[in-house]
Amino acid sequence: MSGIKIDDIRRQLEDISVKSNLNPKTDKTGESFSSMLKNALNTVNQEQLSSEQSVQDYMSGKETNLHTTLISLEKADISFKMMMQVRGKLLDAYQQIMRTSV
Amino acid sequence: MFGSFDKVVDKFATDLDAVMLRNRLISSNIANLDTPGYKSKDIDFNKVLSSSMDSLEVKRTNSRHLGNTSSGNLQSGDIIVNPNPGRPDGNNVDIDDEMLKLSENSIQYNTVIQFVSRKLRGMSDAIQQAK
Amino acid sequence: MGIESMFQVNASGLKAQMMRIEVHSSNIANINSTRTPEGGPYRRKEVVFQAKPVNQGFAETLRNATGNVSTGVEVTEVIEDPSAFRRKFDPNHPDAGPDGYVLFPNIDVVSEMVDLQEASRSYEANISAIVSIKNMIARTFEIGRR
Repeated sequence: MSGIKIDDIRRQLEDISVKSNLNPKTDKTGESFSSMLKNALNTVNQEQLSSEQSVQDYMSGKETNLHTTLISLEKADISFKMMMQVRGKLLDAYQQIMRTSV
Repeated sequence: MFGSFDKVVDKFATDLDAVMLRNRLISSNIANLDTPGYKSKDIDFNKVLSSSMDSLEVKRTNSRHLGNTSSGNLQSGDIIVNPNPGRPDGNNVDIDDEMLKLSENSIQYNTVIQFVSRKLRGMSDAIQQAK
Repeated sequence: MGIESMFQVNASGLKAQMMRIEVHSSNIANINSTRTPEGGPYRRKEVVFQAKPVNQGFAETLRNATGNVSTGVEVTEVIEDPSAFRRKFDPNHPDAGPDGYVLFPNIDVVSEMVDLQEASRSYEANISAIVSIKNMIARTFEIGRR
């Protein structure tokens, strides 16, 4: 409907979450962990923009159905919350690594 | 299932679009209760709702689905014009019919709103509580 | 904001029915008006209704292939009833013609009352539609309610 795909975001963030437990820098497939993170953040950012756009559409009269706008906002909120969850996990993982003495 | 969260939410959003469309038609009928020649319009609601149900189960490649730009299931063919000749001035809107439909539609709307809001809140709560 | 368009259709209904009520009220008030500024007795008036499309915002129209379905109504003109005036023989009446007959408005009070009642009922129906939409909008805020 609004282009926001919670399932996609969840999958992306889950991948990162899994990978962060193994190796914070790279994984076997060669895709760097940081680029995965960047992609996921991009996706979430897109969703935020998309939800801002849906509010704009409503305010400008382009969209007249309130439910469309509110659902879009709620989805953006959910995807953001997902990201915050993973951010928390990443932070924990990072802190663990920092605690490990070299 | 988790994997179909978007599908379920989007289906509800599409259903709400259908309910809103029906509301516009009912509103138009009521505004034109006394307009000469005006024929009342409606949509085959059950048909529209059940076809959106199908889209949950079966992935259809169909000319009706326009890809990412439109996930709506509504077509202009879904709008039914009441062909009755009606009163001498050609108007066939029945005020009692329309008032009844108005109530039904309102309840339908509230019901689907409940479904979608609970679904969304469920996901939101689940994420917040995840460790 | 797009929200006005939700009410525009029935708002136009209210306006049109109100005009209809005013015209028939005026007919009743003037049932015995044998003279008018334009000369001659008051002539019965009625409204002409016509359907008028209302812009419903194109985001929804893009999603669905149904096009703009919202249709409001407007009073395109107030016309005069061309039927003959009532004639009453009363040579002493100030507006009596040379033949002693007075011309009275072509208004039947019963018919006007029926019109008034119908217009009233239609007006109420438009109110109900507006209230219904208002409630639906209020309920929509369930989405995202914490």
